[in-house]
Amino acid sequence: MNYTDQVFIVFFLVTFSLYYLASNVKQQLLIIILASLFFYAWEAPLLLVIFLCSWVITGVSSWYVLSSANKNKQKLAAFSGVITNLLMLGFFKYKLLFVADYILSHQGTAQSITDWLILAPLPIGISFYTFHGISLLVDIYRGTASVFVNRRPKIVEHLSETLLYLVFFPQLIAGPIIKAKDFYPQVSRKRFGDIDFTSCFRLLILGYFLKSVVADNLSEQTFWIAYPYFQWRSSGDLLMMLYGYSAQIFADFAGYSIIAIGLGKLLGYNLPENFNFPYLSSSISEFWKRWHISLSSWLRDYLYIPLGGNKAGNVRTYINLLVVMVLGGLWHGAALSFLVWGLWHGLGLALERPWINSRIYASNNFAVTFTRVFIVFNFVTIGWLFFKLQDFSQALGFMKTLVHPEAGGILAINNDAAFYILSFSVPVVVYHLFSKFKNSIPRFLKDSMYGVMLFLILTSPGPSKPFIYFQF
Amino acid sequence: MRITFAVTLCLLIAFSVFLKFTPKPAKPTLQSQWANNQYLVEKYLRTQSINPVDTLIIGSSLTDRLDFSEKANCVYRLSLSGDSSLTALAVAMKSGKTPKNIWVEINYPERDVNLELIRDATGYSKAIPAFQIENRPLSLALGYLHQAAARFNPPHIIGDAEQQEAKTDTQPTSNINETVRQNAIALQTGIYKGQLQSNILLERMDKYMHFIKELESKGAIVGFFELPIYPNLRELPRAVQVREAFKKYFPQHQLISFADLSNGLTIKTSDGVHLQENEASAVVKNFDFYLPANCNLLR
Repeated sequence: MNYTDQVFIVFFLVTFSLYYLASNVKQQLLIIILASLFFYAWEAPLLLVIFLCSWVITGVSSWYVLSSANKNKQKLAAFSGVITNLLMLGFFKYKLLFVADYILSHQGTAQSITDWLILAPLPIGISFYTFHGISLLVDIYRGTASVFVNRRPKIVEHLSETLLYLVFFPQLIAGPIIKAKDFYPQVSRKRFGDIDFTSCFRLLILGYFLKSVVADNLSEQTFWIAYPYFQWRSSGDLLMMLYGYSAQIFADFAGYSIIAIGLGKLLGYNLPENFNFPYLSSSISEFWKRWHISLSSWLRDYLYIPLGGNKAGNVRTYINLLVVMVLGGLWHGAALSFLVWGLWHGLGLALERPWINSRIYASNNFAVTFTRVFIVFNFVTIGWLFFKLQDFSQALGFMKTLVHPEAGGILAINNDAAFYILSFSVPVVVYHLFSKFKNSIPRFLKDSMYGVMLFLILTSPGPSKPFIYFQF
Repeated sequence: MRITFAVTLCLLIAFSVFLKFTPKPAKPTLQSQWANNQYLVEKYLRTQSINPVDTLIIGSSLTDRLDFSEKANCVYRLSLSGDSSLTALAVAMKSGKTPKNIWVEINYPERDVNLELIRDATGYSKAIPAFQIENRPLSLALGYLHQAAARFNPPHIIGDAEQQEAKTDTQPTSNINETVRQNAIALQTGIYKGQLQSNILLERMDKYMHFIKELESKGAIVGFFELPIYPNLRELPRAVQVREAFKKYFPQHQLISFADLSNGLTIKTSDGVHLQENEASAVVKNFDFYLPANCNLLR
């Protein structure tokens, strides 16, 4: 079920009504859990079994960590929960590397559970609910979050809260990844009167605008980046499309995240910000503090810091950066392109590290900052090519065609396509510039801008496409 | 939020008034293949409710190359690029009046009905001009730009505007680099050496049967045509499998063969499957034999 489908709107309205008609927190939990399970099962009901396995493993092992007084037993329970979750994620995400031929030749012929598991597609949202599960286990085990200190819930209560944490539908498919210590304190009775409708509707208008108007329309233009179509295009067209894709992936993912946050707010839950005007970043490290914040902060807290972070010497810091970024890349999927994308960013982070304390980085001069933003934006945009063309040889083919086009050079641009790419990218530029002036814009003008966005959602939506991050 | 909703409402009213009283660009400017498909469906449904056509030609991007504008009064080309004849047949079923003759391209039978396209192009909102695809603010703006530029710089920009519908297609129609063309033909050869999965083909054929029976029950005469492709591909397994499937499932229906449509012409194509401009013109001439002789007499 896509947030842009009409069926989702009906689903949400029904859930929302029942949720606020419920008379106590238990009923609310039950309604939101059942609705989320229904939402998850809508496309592929059988994959719900895999999700429920993950829930039982996470729920039982985390309850054991909570209720056991023995530190060694706690460690064993937390460790086995994390490893089992990672094994499940690894199995479904990377099995294609080993059994692709088997899957191709045995489609639709599952005779046993093993067969079914091998032939099953990637369960929707597995990358996200696995990370939620790991966050829960680690937060409880560390005992640093006050919400889990001296917490001794009954197993049924803990399992139901854990189920809500993993399955909460606004963030189930593609995040934002909320840490357990931030989610559990929010589980309480929600009241209709507490909803801030203005801020919720603003978020939904902005999110749907970015997705339906910007990303979906740009997707029509950037489609031709795909193999073999890029071979027919000039260098100018290819460059234009690559920049268009940069705007598209931002609008698509930020749009999704903003809608998720808006829906969460309507149900009384605050989900973390996922984007903070990332294309204004003046360094790669800043970019990763502004882009997909919930993933990068997850990787920082649960991988980079446990590996030693930047406290274990220079060489170790560089190795840690590369390891985290490569694993972050591979988290997206089992493709060489994702590994290269992670490595690209890891190298970027490693290369800029010696300069971080230099005068250039400390400078507030507009020209210097602008140049740095320009360089970072182009660096990131080149990296997106590996996201779009997940077959690495095709990404190389694209670059080859960009340099040696068969169909014209840098100035041979399809005017109409350029017009549409530029026009649909403008909102992304305005959105970023808006961050600089958002506090000085009068309220009337702000409200009017939301009015214009709503008008464009009604008159100029693109074709309804799944969110790019739904595939992960 | 009151200001937000008021601004939206005012804009919708102002835009509707603008559309009502301002002449639109002579040719619609459409942003993409998807928009072009939607436009063809929306326009067809409007045409059928006001001034129905006699003959409907349906197909994929292959058929999109064929220009039947000389017979625009009685022939409508519902060619859905990247999509299928099945989708176009489903659209034909939705129209108020059924055309007398329907010609169906058989080249891509594996593509299923695109329900999203049908939903997007046939909603009730499409009765309101502000929500029609050719009236999107940006497309209109580009259309006016083309018109304005044409006054100053006729050859280049007019060309862009006039070719817009065709240009939303997958590949260029002319000036194709030979290496790129050969690569594309090699790619198609690989595809045509394989066969469609028999269960998928079977399922699609059942859908064709269902749609065609329905349309025939409404009085339509349905025939098929196979568009000429690169000669070396014509007898490869995929092409033969598709041809034989249609002959088997529709033995009583007329099938215009690629030989009839190419009629001795050497077909080079731009990529193995899409005709070049001159080839498409020749095919249209050969198709003429199967179309109404005089459109005006049908009115």
